[in-house]
Amino acid sequence: MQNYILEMKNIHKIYSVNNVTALKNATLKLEKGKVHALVGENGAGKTTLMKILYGIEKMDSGEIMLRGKDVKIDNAKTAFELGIGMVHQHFKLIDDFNIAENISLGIEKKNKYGMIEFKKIQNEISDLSCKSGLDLDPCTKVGDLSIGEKQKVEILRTLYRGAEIIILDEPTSVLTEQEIQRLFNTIKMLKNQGKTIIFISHKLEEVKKISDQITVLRNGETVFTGDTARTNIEEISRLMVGENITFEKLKCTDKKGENIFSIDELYVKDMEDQYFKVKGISLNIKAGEIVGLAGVDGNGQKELIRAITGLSKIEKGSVFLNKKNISDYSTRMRREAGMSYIPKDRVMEGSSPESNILENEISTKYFKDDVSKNGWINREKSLDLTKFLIKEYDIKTPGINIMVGMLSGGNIQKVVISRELSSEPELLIACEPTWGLDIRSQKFVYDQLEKIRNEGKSIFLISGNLDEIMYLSDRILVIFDGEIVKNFDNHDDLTKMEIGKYMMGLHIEEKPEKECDNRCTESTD
Amino acid sequence: MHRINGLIKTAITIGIALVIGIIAILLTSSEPGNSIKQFFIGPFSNTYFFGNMIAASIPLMLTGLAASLAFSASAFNLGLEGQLYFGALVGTFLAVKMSGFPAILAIVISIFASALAGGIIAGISGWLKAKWEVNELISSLLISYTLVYVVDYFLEGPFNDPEAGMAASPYMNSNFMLPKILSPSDLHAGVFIAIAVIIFFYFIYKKSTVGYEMVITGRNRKFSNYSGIPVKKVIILSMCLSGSLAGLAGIIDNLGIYGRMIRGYSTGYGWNGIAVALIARNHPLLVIPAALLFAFLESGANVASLMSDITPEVARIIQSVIFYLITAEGLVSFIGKKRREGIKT
Repeated sequence: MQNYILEMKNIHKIYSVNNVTALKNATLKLEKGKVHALVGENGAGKTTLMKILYGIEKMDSGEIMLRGKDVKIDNAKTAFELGIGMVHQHFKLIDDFNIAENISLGIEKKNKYGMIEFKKIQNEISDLSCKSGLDLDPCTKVGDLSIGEKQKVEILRTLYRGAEIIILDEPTSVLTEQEIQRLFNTIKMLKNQGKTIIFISHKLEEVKKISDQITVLRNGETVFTGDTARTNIEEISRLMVGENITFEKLKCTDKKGENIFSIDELYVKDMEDQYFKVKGISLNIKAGEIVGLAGVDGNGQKELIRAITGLSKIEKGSVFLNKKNISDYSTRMRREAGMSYIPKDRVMEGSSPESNILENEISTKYFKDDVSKNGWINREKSLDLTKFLIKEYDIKTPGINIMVGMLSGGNIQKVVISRELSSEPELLIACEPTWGLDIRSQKFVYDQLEKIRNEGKSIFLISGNLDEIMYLSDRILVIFDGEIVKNFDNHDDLTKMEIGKYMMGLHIEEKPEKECDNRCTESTD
Repeated sequence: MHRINGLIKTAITIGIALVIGIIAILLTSSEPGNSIKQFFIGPFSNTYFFGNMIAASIPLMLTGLAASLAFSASAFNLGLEGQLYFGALVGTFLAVKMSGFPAILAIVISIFASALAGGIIAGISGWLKAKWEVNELISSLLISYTLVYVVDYFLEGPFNDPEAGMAASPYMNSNFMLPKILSPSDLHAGVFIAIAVIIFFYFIYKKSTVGYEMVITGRNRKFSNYSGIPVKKVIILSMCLSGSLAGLAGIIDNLGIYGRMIRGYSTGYGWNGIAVALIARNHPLLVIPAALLFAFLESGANVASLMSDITPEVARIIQSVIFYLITAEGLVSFIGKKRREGIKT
């Protein structure tokens, strides 16, 4: 019998709202001082299991044993009193407070007059941050920090509250490559100090790199637990999905048509209307072509997309679709002209989580004859359309009246994609179309993109995931500091290194590596 | 499920408010038993009180609808009071000037003019929002405050009836008055207008493309922009419609009860409309019971102050407790939602 610091045994959980079984027989056993990866597809139950451990959700049955003793965790307060800390995927920090204030919020130490002892707190946090190697100045305002540093603050907060077990919920999803490296260093440091880490992810390469042990959840069940060193990625991925899904690079088609979409010398300012973020970009996309845009986040991608889709003002330059100058068109007119758009933020921009599937599916066509007449929405027609799309795109939902926010990430994305593709666009703009999706949903998205490309449509793919860009694109453009700095044909011998060089701006002049490093972190966020 | 939950919460809120009202009566009345009885039973004790209660709910139904319409498109029209007051002035002025017109025509013109006037005033705030991102909450509020004084000026000066001996307009032709339906009470045919308008807007809200645009924009403006919904137009339109309903609410008492416009005749209809919308959770049909509840509290307190020794301000206490509890609860569920959103992966 091994000595586990934490055991969660036979956890069952059914969500009463939609009667979905989230967990059945889920088991998780942690050894002290190890990094334990919890992997699984979206909706496999990782987050639910962690919410139960953290006291945010109640389990229906099962037991939790901490250091060999039965414990009952009813709320987050109990959880951190027991030494369990969680770093959420979306940080819960107050930008206007400094680090010390954020960390001590809710557990402020007070002197006998009831005044908060900020000096003492600051010193404690300062000590702790040195000792743990997180190295943060407690007086810095959180709003001034980069995303990676904010994450450090979250970790430091769990430590300050005495966490022995730290849950990191998809910690890498918001980070850049360099920040991920730093996070891994932090994790190793914490491990050396005897902390136990739960690392939730579905990026298996990271899991392989950082974890000692691994537990795989599938459909709410634990299907595998073991040492990471003795597994390989293919095996884990098969266990996660329950079948083999492999990606092969898309073959380029020769049936390229004429130019469908082009941009001419486009200039766009940032959201605050101060600086140029897009500085004279020109490009064109042919029928039946997927053009990928690679680049480090924050180099003008967002502004470029917003200008193309009519959500931001164009300062200078023109956008053409099907030989028509659409630069002055409203978003709706652009959509009518044959443009569709899968946005990066599928929950807050691509859908209305508080609306049902029908309301989400008709948002781009409610005014058309397909679903309405003389200003009145035809319930039957829109219902038929929604049912058809649910079937055609295999959207898994308990019913048509379900709020989209209740669906899993993959299914929300299916709602977005089905809506965008059902208008039969000439041009699809796809922004991070598989961000945060599991392998099966990823495969689905790729298949859809391939299908419409083969039908002769044009696709502009913007992604921070180089693998995705290289897998799908016929041509790859690299954006750096608001300019297209390179146009690659996606040959088989093109390497990530080669593209990466342009993404980092290294093509301009060779710089010492250290300096480059700093520069990249500045330009992200 | 969600809706039923909401109804239960509202019922509890109203229950707590009534208990607090009863405590206030117990503390201030020398014959609390009779006061409480008069408060609760009084409005139903005869046709006069009952009719007056329903009559008092008519403008509240309309302002309640006005508020819920704007709120559900997340256009925060806080200028209902001024829009109502100004609309009433315009409508009454025309009614007075049209004294030779056939009654039907005059009534229709007067109603439409009031709605138009209220709509334009609210529309200005909507337009400022769409054009320059001016916060519609602030602009509508400020415009409204100013307008109340402007209207008062007219009632005291150019549009004053010297014989009235108070700040009131001349009487309109008595033929223009909406027919009474429960004499001797004030209840008038305006109640049918209000209910018809509410049902009409319910269908607009549920079934029309305009209603869809408003609901979707209210829930997620980013998504609306992304989908190509003309968000600016939707906001201006919601403000206009909301202001028109406020204008309509303003004229209805003058056509139904007073036959002219008296300064300060609106006892906070615009403000109470916001509370009505909150109780109704922005649902157009639920506005009717919510307005009736508010009118019931008002007349219950009035009756009790006539028949017993409490002050009518008891109604204000209960109304404000309801108002506080509902807004606080709205805040709690809003924060709760934010929290859940934060945790979800």
